[in-house]
Amino acid sequence: MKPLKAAGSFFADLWKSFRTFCSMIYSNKKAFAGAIILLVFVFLALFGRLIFPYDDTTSFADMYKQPSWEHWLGTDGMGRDLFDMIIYGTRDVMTIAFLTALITVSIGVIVGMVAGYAGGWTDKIIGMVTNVFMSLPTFPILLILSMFITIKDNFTLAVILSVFSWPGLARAVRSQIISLKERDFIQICKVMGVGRGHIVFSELMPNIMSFIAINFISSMKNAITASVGMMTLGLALFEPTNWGGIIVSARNSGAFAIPAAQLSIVAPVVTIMIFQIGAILFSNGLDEAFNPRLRKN
Amino acid sequence: MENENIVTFDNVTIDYVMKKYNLRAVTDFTLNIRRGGITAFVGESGSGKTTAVSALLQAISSPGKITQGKVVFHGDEDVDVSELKGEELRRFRWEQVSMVFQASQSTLNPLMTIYDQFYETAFYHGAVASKEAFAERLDELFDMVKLDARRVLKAYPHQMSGGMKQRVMIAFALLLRPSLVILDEPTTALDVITQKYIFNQLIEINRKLNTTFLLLTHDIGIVAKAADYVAVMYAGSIMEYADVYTLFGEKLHPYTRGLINSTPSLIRDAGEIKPIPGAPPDIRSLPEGCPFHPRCEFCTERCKTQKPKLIRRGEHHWIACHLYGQDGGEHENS
Amino acid sequence: MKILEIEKLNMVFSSRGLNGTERVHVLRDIDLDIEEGEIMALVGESGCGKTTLGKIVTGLLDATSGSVRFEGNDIVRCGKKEKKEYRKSVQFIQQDSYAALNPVKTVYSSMFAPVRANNRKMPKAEIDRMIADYLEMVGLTPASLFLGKYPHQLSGGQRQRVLIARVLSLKPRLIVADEPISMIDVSLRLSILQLLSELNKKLDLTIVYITHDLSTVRYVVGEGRMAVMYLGEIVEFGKVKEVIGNPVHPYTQALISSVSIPDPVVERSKPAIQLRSMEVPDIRRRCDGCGFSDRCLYADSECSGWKLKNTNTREHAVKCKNIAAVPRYDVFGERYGKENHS
Repeated sequence: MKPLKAAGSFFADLWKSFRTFCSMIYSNKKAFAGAIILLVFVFLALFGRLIFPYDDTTSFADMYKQPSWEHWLGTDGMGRDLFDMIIYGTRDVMTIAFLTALITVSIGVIVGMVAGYAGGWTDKIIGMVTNVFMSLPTFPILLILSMFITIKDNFTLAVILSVFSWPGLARAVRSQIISLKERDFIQICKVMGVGRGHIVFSELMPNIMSFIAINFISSMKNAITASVGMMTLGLALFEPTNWGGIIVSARNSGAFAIPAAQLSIVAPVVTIMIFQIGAILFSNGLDEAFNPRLRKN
Repeated sequence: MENENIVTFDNVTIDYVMKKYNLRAVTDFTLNIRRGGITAFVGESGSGKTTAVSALLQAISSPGKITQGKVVFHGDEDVDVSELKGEELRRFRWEQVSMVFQASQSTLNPLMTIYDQFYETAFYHGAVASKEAFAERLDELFDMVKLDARRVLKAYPHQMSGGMKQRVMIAFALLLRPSLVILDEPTTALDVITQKYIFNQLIEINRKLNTTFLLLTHDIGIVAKAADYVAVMYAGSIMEYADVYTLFGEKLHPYTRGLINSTPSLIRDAGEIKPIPGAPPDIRSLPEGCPFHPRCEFCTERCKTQKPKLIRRGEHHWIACHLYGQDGGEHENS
Repeated sequence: MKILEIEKLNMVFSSRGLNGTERVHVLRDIDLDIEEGEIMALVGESGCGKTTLGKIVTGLLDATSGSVRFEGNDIVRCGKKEKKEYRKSVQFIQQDSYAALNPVKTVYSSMFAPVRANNRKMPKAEIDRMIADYLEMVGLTPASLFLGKYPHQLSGGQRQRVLIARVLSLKPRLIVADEPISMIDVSLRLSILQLLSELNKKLDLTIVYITHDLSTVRYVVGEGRMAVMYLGEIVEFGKVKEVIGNPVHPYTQALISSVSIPDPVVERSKPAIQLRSMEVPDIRRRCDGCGFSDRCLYADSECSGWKLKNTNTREHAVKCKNIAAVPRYDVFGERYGKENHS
């Protein structure tokens, strides 16, 4: 019997799953469209600053200029090019969103899986903790917090945002695991002598991968909106180029009332919207793509 | 005088027309279904029996269509079923031809009582003369399927067992006194004792009413029990048609013989049961000639290139096989 | 040698519903011994408890009371070493081959995990070879064609073979096969049954074949033994030849007479058996005595309270109070070619 080649190696398997993942995205129009939009943002986050150099010199003379060939979206209250600001801020925004999603998903998935798989008292205790966190009134707490501290770095911001978002995910993961636990192919693992660690990471987790991916993207989009809220409250410090930052500064300088200045609010809002649309298309498309296959009989 | 046949399939070919290719589900299907009695269509999945019979109700699932031939129903007049439209089609379905579906695909509305469902259909077809007459009719129907009308009529589908639901479906199919009832695997998913019981009733009803029953099944035990005439189908073509005793007694067509010999039976030892060699047909790429030839132990060169025609062999015996007189025999249904 | 001894096994499922705790007595006082190397059939219709029994034997469920002994050791109360040995030696093949395989894992992946779990020190190359060997042993040749496939890319018959290969790779001594062919296309069923039969002979593998299809019992277990179950109890037990040839329990008789024979002459001339009621039995609403008493033609007023015990007729055990009143139904006896006795 000849030794078996590529089919056996772990990395080949991983690469194969990744390729299957990509082809599923490609085959579903929504997911593909969404993915393109998101990838554009990622690209801008990484390279945008090189392509569209940002000049942060302020000049009141150039304040609230209208869109022109020189300034594609006009300028803000301090004469800075709005378009370049948005591009520059993409890295900041993506970092916050990504960190928040990473922390939320990590905590949520681990807690959910442990609670769902272990059951019994572990589940009950985790459930209570989750419920406590879930019942935290987000807005009032943030309001109070903003009186005492101001967040200066992205990582802390991500952590604070995650505190409020991990319980929902943990609960969802838990119910997925509970229903998966009863399936024949998991039940038979016990009979075949397969260990618990293997069951959790190698049998259960791959089945919730799509769920995790979708939630990761949702988490990112929620983080962006939430961070704008935080900035408005004064809880978080922000770079002037952060999209939320642009909105908040505009508000603080009374731009809402000046017709010429309105683009400085609309532009970042629309940018956020575009990201949201990309995220929603991607997750809905992924959902569609994964479920029929799993239900195929 | 009434035509001794109730349905004629005249050289019917049904294709599923898809974007890149055509799937031929039924090929050159020619058969007369005799009036009265129980005719069984036997075949495994992919044999085309369900598709062919769906044509009778103009219910071939899309994108299938009849690309050749026609299906003729011999009612008061001869009707080409595919030409029925609108009101005519509506009346045809359930008044002339009705259907009992598989036990697992209940077509009973889970939100309506049994009485309401029967009433609604009867009313829709203008068959309710008066409440009293209708009640009498229901009593008659439920008596035929040995169900207690008073209990069942008030119930909702989920309150009944599988066997009860199937008997309700049978009563439902007989509601408008159709001339032909199609039964598609009516007892799969039911346990053996209930299965036998229901078939006993079906046979009794068939004798009493002289309605024609068209039974679709893959279970040849059921065929041996209930059928008067049997049509054996394979990969969309008809292989043999005979009365049940001749079919089992002579086992003329190699596929018929293979099918019967490969079915475990209470009265045969393991050594007598032999599987049909080869794999089930892939209807996306059927071979030329006789569709069964790759698995047939009597296959000749002719079988590989020429598709055998359905030739008459006896009074109620037709066979499509090169082993049995292809030249000189009649090859049309008369 | 007796490889499995089941004694007074009872299984009660309790569920907390809207009406308080509901207790369903799914298995009652099951006594069964299985010899090493035999294929035994466990026959009954849906709801009789045969799958539950199979799951208890393989450790998927814990019985409420009674004992199961594997090679003399009680599987619940034995030591760690014996438990490990038992786990490895007794395996289960599920009915639904699609549900029994992880949908996001390839055939190779699904087979690798259990082998690795039971052979921690085996080098990967050897595991790979084993996997390929077992796939080919069950007829999936060449193995390389199937290793990279996902469950939804295989036919029902192929999936079932993968399940069998997977279980075989653990080198078990006893396999419980729960309705292995009921979800497979009719034309593919026979070869799976042939496979099981071959494996039993070639590997001296003990097989418990759970089914509702009596015709296949004759095919696979023709020379072995069978147990007939009804509403949680074994009502008749004996050699397949004798149980089919001369069924004694009224339920067995009804069951046998209901099986359709693929021969119109025999089928239409065999005597029919009537039952008192066509109500499908519900395990939640059965009496404490004989569960068949409401449908049985020979039941008297005491049957519903009669505590079941065996009335032995030679090697043929039957749980019926009035077997003297039950007429013979030896329609198929002579077709077994040997005399039958009562």
